[in-house]
Amino acid sequence: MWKLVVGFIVFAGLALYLLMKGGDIDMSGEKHGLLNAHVVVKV
Amino acid sequence: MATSIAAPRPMSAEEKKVIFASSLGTVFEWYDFYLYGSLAAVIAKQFFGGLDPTSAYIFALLAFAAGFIVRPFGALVFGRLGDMIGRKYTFLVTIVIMGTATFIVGLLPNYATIGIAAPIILVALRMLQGLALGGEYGGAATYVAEHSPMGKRGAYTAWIQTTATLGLFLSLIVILVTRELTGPAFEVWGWRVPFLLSIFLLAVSVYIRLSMNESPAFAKMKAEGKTSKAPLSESFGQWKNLKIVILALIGLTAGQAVVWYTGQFYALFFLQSIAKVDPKTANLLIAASLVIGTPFFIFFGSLSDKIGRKPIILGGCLIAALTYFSVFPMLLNYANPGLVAAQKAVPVTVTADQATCSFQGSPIARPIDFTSSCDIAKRTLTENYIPYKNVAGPAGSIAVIKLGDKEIPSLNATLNDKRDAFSPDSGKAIADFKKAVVETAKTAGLTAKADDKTMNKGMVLAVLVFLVILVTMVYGPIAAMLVEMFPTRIRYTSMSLPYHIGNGWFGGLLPTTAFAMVAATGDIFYGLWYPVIVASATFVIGMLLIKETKDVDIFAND
Repeated sequence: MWKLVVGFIVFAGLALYLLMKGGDIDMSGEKHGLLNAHVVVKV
Repeated sequence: MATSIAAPRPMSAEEKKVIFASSLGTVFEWYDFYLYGSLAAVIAKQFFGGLDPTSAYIFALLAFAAGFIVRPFGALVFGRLGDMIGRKYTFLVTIVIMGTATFIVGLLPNYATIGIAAPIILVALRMLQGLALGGEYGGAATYVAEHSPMGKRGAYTAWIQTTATLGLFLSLIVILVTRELTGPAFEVWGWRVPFLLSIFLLAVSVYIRLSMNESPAFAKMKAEGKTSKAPLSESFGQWKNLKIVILALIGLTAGQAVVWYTGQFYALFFLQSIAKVDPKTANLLIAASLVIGTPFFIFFGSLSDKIGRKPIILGGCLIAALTYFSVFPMLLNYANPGLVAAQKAVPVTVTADQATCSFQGSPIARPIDFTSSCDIAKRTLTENYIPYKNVAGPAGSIAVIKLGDKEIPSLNATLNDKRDAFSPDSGKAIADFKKAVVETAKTAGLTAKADDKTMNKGMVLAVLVFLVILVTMVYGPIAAMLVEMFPTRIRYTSMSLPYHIGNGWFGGLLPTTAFAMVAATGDIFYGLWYPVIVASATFVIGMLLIKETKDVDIFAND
């Protein structure tokens, strides 16, 4: 169990570090509906 | 297969392998599925950029349908397969489909290279992803639950419940590392790397899953010739099973889905669009809240083995329903107190002939669907998330926005001959109108971005963590509960459908429904009525009609 805890902490730490460093991140996962599609197709 | 609760003991090696294999594969499936959403802007540029607006719109609609319609359909297809030929092989098939579809996206030539074939193939691949995902969850949850001893089902299946969040993080990490390594080339070819990586994840998952044994319950049933020949008919054609499927949906997964989507996704949207927190800060805060909250999936799953599934799941729904209307205004105040002050100081109204105001809640609506002055006025305010009150105006009058003392009349728009865009005059007039409204609102402080100096990040994070804890309450124990509600012979079919309808429809429709409610009323918190009503209904129905299942012998009817 402790290995999992450590593993999760490492994964979480790495995730947050990379997310802080990276400029353009989007935690919204699935794009629902076409509210986003209007943004998405306007390129 | 124990029929009484076993004495406490550590997890056996076989059980660890089962949980690991199932969870890892499900993480990879979510990774594959979320990649598309996380890279939506790049994908749009590569595949939809050359299309005319109508075609682009249709493709976007089809891609949206992958999550909305296709997931429940995948639940039916693979649920049936899983109950007829076995869990192991079915959720091998789902991961092969998902991994292969994802890998092919990475190889797919873009619109510039192969023309219209590119978006067609892309959307077909997206549909395959939705299908595969629809089959994965039921398989993973059923497989783990059927290996779990009595009294541990909640704890063991809770690991599956962490996979969506972990899959999302994994997709973002891979994207960020790839961006870092490929630099400007990311927009050209680097974006393909996260998709191509999927083949390695697929190879790992297939290798591990091939080495697993079939669920002992299913293997026994098959050996005795007791498997269902027609799981779909049995699940949905016999009232004694169908009523439980319906109850599982309206008394469990509907409420779970709206609490999940509110805590994980609506909170992000609220921070960015309504509280006007800059995207990077908003996403980081959400990420931090998810990291802090993720272990609670395991906590509540385990707790449900001791105190029951119902108290935790329905308790989460009840607390959500009772607190959302307090918590979200609190979130706004901690994130952007200046905006709250401006909203109090400068009231906004839309005076319009109410007969000209249409329903704005269709998930497939486009800007050109709204040509009346009322709709244009409301959409302008709603797109900027400026709260307002509706005032009834004289019949036939043009809608007028009033911000404080300043009045700005709207306009009735016309479309071009092809009816795929506004006419040039209308397009210009709408743009001028929007500019006037936004500039006035800006001067009044109604579009003020959240200021780092006045934002209370600690409290924002605390509120977000509270929302995520509610997510873990409703979601942590639910895999075990869904498994426990159905007999082995139709379990995969029966539990998958309410899960994907609940999450795909009730949850998936949350953003558009909430937007429609905000757009209709001008109240930026009105959208919360949707999750509040659904969660309340689930609480009442679940309390009255659903039995506690933690002590159910899931093999009793085999």
